[in-house]
Amino acid sequence: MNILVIGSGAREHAMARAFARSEKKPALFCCGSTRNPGILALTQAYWCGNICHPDSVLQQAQAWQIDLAIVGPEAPLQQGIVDVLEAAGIATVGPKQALARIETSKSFARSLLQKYQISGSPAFQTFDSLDGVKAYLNQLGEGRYVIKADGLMGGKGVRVAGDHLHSVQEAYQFCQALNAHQLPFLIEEKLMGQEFSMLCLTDGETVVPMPLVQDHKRAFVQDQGPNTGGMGSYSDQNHSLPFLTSSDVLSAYKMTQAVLSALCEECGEPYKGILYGSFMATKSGVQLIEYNARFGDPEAMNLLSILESDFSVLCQALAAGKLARERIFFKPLATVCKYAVPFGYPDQPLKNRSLDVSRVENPEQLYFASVEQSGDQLLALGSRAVAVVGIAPNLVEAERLAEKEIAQIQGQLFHREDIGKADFIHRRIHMMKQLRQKQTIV
Amino acid sequence: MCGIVGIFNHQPVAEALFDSLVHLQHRGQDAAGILTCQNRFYVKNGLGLVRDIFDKEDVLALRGRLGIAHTRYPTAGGNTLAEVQPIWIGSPRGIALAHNGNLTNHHELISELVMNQHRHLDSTTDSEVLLHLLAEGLDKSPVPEGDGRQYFEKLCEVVQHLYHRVKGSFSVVSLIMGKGLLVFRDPHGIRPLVWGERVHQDGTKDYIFASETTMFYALGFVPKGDVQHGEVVFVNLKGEFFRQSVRQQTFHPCIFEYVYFARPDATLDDVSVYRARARMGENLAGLWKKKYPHIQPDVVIPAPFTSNTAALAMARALGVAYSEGLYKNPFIGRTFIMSEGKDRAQQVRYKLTPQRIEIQNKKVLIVDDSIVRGTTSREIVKMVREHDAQEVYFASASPPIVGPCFYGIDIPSRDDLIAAHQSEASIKHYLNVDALIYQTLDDLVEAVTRRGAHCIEKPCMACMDGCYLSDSPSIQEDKLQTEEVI
Repeated sequence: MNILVIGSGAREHAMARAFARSEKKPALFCCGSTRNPGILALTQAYWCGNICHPDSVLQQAQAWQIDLAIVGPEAPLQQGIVDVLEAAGIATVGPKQALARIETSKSFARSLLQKYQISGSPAFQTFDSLDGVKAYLNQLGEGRYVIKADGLMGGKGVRVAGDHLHSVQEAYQFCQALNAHQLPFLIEEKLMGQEFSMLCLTDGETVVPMPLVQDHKRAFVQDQGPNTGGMGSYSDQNHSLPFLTSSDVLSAYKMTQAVLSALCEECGEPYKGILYGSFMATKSGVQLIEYNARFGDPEAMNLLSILESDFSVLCQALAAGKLARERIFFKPLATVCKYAVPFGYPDQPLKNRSLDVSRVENPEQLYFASVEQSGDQLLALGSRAVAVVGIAPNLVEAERLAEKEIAQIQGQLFHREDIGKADFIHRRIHMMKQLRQKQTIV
Repeated sequence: MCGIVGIFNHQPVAEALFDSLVHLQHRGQDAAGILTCQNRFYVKNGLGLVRDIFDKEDVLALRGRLGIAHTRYPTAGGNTLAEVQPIWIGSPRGIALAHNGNLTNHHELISELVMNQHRHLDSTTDSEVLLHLLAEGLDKSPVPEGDGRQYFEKLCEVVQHLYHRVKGSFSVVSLIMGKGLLVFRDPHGIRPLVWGERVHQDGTKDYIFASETTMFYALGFVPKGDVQHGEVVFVNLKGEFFRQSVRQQTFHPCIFEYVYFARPDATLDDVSVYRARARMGENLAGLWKKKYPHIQPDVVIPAPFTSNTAALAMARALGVAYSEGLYKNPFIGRTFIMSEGKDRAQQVRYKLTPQRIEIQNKKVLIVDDSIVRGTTSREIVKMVREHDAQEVYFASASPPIVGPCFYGIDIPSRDDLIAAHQSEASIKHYLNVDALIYQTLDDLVEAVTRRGAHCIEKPCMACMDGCYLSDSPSIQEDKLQTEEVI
């Protein structure tokens, strides 16, 4: 079996590894935008080019006689890569263009939930001009709004009151900037609580949640600094998260099931792939932040590193719409993933600086992202460079492992020491407890 | 609320299951399903009344000697096939199940199952939880060969484990492909579950397990009593019968079965529902004489049909005439009006016709099984007054309903319960009656437990006395749950 991985980050490295573990011994191929040395080592052939150009990817896939493809990042989904590959008879894990709008268009996603009366969305309005923007910002109130560009912005299209926007005036200026670029946008009520990610494998009918993960978007310790693609993430040995109740988990799962059947009805065909819900546990229950149409990065490293079932078998079943037949197992272990990123990341990162990972003790849990091999040295290209995953029976031990490994990486890089640390997690549990108590008193 | 039945037969079983459902129709008119087993599962289900769902061909197509069936009580917004039982899964082995009751920790269990087992579950219902817990139990550890004593012991172990995890009420009939019919009842025995047998001339036996005994006579089954609380029963393909109690907690059968839900000709936990209702009427008469010694009604009229028996006994004890002065069309079934959400008051007028000749110029005592929201009772009183009754009195065969039910009876949330917020005096005023009595808690328990070789320590009557089982969810959570359940 020939399997094609589309994308070349640490997420795709984790996918390639999961395929490489398969008893089916598939031959692996990759279409990426950079030459990821980790993926390179696992693949028979590697094409580096514009993966947002579906026809070029299809050409490669056909040349390699690909049986099964999986799409890592969102951008190719938006370009309809799944439509093109499937039309050519290549089974693909990932939603078609119309279905991927659940991620690629924020307004489509919110309207879908509204139309199908799926509860759990914050208040929102969409704008394609500046009319009414000020009034709506004032209606939500100072410090209680979020502005999202309506389209893929690589995580940079979101500004949150208090974190990035310090007054209605600043918020309005951001809207003006978006409007000047003719970008439509949404203004939403800001949610207070704890974020968590529920990623589900789905063929549109069968919906199987993977262990819950908490990602950390902000660049610096204590959740300070600008938003990034994600500095690291953790998952617990019981596959839930310590600050969540069973009702929270159930609400998120219910919402995802409802959204999948709404998508199927709206688009006339089932959503096949990974549906990644980003949720906020708030004092009044679980609210949806957004859906993504693919694996999260870094979440993919947490999840695939403890997946026990054969990933290639699962992907085949999923693409064939037969996921119901498969039993899906994850090891009952905690994971902590940490990214090492170049100094200056994300705003003014150092580029093309060398790094050395040779002292990492367990290279099996080292994942390459924005790095390339140049002669005998590795270069960090400027975005998130490498990730490590610590896996252990409990979070404390998993964090210790991850921290120990990431400290072995030499280069002009930094990482967040706090991710997965006990006191950091305890603060989150405490915060949720306080939020929920307030609710009871009211 | 629902009705369930499971039959081990020596002949094709589908027809007997169909007949059983007709005799369980009063336990649910919203949807029904039959599932039989012969190498594979055969399933037919649908929305509406049993007779509307199945035609002869449907029943004949359901092959096999073993089967289970279910009638579903209407649930809010549940007018879909998605939650119709029996439900089944094909792997790791074929297991099918039908369930009557309500799990109070299903949030927790669904979360556990989807997060730890990474299974797909219909998140809107609690029935799949039981199915998956059974499957998980049979999946996990090595299962003995065959279907004899050793296999039964394994089943006991699996169900015992389930008893420890699942809270709430559940009477379950289940089929295990290639093995047999598995039946169990929750450790408190909240929902009923009876069984019977039919002996053939060659000595072989058929077995039936059902919510009520109502179909036994018609099908030639002899009642053999109840599946005990916390008991596991298994009939394998050879017809070998095994039973064992694996986890008994205090026995708390639901008292509302006797008050309202069960068919009067049923015997549950060795108590005749008919006799229990008659004794409720007697006790009501005793209380009436004490409370209103100077008021003698001219006629006792039941709010049909559930309160007929109590009204008849009450009339007899008071020495006054019993009259069907409110006539209910027996063919009314479930009206379209009900699903369209017109108010309950209008529904009453659609179902009941007052007979002027039985009412005019009389002092009328209306007997109903209970007063829940108060809206139906009030409308009935209004109808009787419109037909020129001289005075109108009202008697409730059950005490004031003050709390929601978390164990499967469709009682609304506390906010809608009139007795949860109003005194007897103000309810009397609201109903616009000249006298009102409620059965006392003690009299009701006495009426149900006076006779029979039952071992009812205390029936579950949490909706009346507020004593919920210790493993009930907190009031906070309850609000959430009732909103979803009802």
